[in-house]
Amino acid sequence: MFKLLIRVIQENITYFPQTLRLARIDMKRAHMTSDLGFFWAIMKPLMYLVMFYLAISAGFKGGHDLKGTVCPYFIWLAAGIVQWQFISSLLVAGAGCYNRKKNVIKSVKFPLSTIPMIEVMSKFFVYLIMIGILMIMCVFMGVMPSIYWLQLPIYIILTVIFLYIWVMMTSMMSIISVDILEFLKTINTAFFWLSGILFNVKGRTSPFFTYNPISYLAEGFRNTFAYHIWIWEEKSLFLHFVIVLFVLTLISSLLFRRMEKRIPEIL
Amino acid sequence: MSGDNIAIRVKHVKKTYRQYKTNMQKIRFLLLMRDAGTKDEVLKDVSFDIKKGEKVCILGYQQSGKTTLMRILARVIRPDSGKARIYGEIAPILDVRLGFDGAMTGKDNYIRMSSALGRSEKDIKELEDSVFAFARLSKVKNEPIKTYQKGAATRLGFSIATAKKSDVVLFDSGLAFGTKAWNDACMERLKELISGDTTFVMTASKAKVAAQLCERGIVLHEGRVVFDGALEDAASYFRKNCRQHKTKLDDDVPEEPATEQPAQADTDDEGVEF
Repeated sequence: MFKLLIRVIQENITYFPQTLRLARIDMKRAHMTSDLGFFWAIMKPLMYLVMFYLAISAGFKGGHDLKGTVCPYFIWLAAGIVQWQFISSLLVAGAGCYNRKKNVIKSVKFPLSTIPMIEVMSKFFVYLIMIGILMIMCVFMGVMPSIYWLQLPIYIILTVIFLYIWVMMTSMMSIISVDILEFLKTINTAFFWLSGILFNVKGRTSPFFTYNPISYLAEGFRNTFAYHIWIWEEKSLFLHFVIVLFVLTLISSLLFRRMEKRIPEIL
Repeated sequence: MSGDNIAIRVKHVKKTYRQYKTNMQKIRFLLLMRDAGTKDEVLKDVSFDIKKGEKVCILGYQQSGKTTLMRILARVIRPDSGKARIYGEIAPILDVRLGFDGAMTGKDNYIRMSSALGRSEKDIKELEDSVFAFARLSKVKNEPIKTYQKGAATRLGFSIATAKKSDVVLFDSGLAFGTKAWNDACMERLKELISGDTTFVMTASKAKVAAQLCERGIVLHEGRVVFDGALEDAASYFRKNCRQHKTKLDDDVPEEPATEQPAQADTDDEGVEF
């Protein structure tokens, strides 16, 4: 397995320029169905954010408890929503990535381990723009850039690694059975509500939150923008995240090792 | 390149396709490594060598295994046993359209296809103008492919696939061309592409066109090499001794396209059988 991991990492580094080129075209393709195309890619998450903010602030009469934050509730919410938007865009749809590229896979020798990365990178550009908008919103709402913002790249990289492994695992499973896609669609809502995107999970000890990678990554953004907590100050949560990542890597590697040779034939 | 001037060495290659009726069969075979599914032995112990610079035509009917063999040579799929060694850079021309997306512009499809073929950013930029010029699509390269005239997508695909010289060119027969003028232009371009030291392997079910490009013929019948020699002799052997054989399962890539296709899809093309 170790050899496979090294090869997958090497392949992804070697083919990264190709991955970016194909991701850019996939992104363009995804947003070309309407005249305003890319504008909607940004507007949708922003509307999502405003909608939740209004619903929770007005509907629940501001019933949110955010002890220890250095920012308004809107920024706290936005930090979680930005993470959720990126993660949710790949949580289900990522599973179909090999099927979407089957014409290429069946016609040329293609580095198969890079296909999940193409999928992740095709959503990454919008994610970066959303992070930029989040930063601008912070400044407008009086939350000035702080030294804690320096840990943002770490959380971004961890998010990309998690999503790559997740997409790899679910796409392998969906090659075996399309029911996996239906299963993922079914549990997508559960992921949202069990990840503390809308409510504060800081200090909660339930494994639903402590072993939930989505929750960890959303909290990571909040630690950066809202709580001003360094990544190493929450060692046990980081350890839990690493354990989950390790298990997912193990499953993905086993599936990929077994199926890699056969993918062009069974698609 | 190998020391003995060999460009391609195929040794005892066997390949069996499987068809799974249930997901359990897939899981049994793919994950548990147990025997499952319906088997179709496509290649049965195929061996041959091709020297550097040789131009070879693999003659065979549908289901003879020639597309599977080409996909093994192109390293798209792997043999179940035996070895297929290719020395040098490969240019596989197995599907000229590589799943063109009709909604995307010619230029975006060009970048996508070139990237999939493993070309560098530099190559993609340098070759762009000549690719569109050859396909006679320079003026419409920023328009969606679905707005192109019939046959234009195949012209573009062929132009992209043949834009760069390689050590080994693999050319599957399932390529549709167009008018006589375009066919002649394609033939000239192919000849130029495979000139000199370039090793060329193509597949065909008729030796007529291959005669312009190849000097050696390998007859593949029911998954075995039944003749290997001069193209003329191979064609004669093929005509006299081989009959179309239908297997239970088809190759998962069609070996020969219909000569005429209805103009319904946005990338449909007229074709002339090779």
